[in-house]
Amino acid sequence: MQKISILAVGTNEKIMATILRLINQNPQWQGDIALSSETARALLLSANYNLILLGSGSDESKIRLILKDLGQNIPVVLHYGGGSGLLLCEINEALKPSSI
Amino acid sequence: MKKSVLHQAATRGSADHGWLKSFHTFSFAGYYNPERVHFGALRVLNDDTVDGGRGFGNHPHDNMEIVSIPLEGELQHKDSMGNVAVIKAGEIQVMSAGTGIYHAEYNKNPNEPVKFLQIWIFPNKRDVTPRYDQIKLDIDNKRNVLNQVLSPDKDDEGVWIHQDAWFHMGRFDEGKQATYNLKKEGNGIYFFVLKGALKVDGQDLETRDGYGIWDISEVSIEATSDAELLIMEVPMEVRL
Repeated sequence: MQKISILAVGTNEKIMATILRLINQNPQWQGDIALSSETARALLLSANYNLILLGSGSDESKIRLILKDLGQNIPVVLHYGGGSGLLLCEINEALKPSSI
Repeated sequence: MKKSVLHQAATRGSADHGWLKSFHTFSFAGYYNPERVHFGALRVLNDDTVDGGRGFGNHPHDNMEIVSIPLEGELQHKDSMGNVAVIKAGEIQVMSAGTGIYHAEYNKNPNEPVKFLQIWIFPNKRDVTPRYDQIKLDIDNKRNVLNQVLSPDKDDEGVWIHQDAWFHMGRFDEGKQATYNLKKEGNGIYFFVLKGALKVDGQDLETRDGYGIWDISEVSIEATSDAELLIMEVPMEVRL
């Protein structure tokens, strides 16, 4: 089964490293992180993502503009909590059929 | 028209990690129930018991208002803002995680468990400067009334958070009554029974039951035994 590919965007380097580790801990998920909108743009050009998670410091309007510019329609959800507490639910909720 | 949701104690999610036993009113960590994700801005209501000397190692939070209410025992807290503190029953702790913090929490007592509620509220503003506070409550001396323990206003009674939310706690003798008046239109009210039995707006509730009501301006409360209650008023409209 193909893994769910997740791009997490945020500026807190330490927290983003934790999020990346937590995403990749799940055998059904594969993650990348971008510490800036510019890096996010480059990653969006080079890979196909199922979901974008916005962590602290991310600029949602910039990310949505990039997606519009690239013609990509990917669910964008705000990530809360920094760690593992809400991650599973955020990803499941964003990707459930009624949300897409 | 009034709307309500009942979460009976036995229907909560649970996790047993040996040193930590937790009941989740809403989806958390490995517990995912699409019918129970949040009640408005109230996202997490965890009922935790941590073994003596054990605890949560250093871990991050961001963009969440985190409220801890110890029910029994003492919880040691250390965070990346330099705060080192112990909170115990009769106190309340609040953290605005904002742009990001790391913290660790341990049961200070090596032999006795600590029991506490971990409550997370969605903030009304992202990426605020992180902050920490804790205060002692005076609920023991104020029985049979609702005591405000949290609000959005730093000059008001209790701790404050970045959200239009109000928390009240009360200890009631059997037969005593009270009325909760909504603070802000558009908010909902979530009742969580800490101990004993109560009737809230006609609904019978037992220990650790949760009951959310919205589209209502006042709610009647009656203790059907000696009881303790936590009331959380939160906005119902939130951006997920």
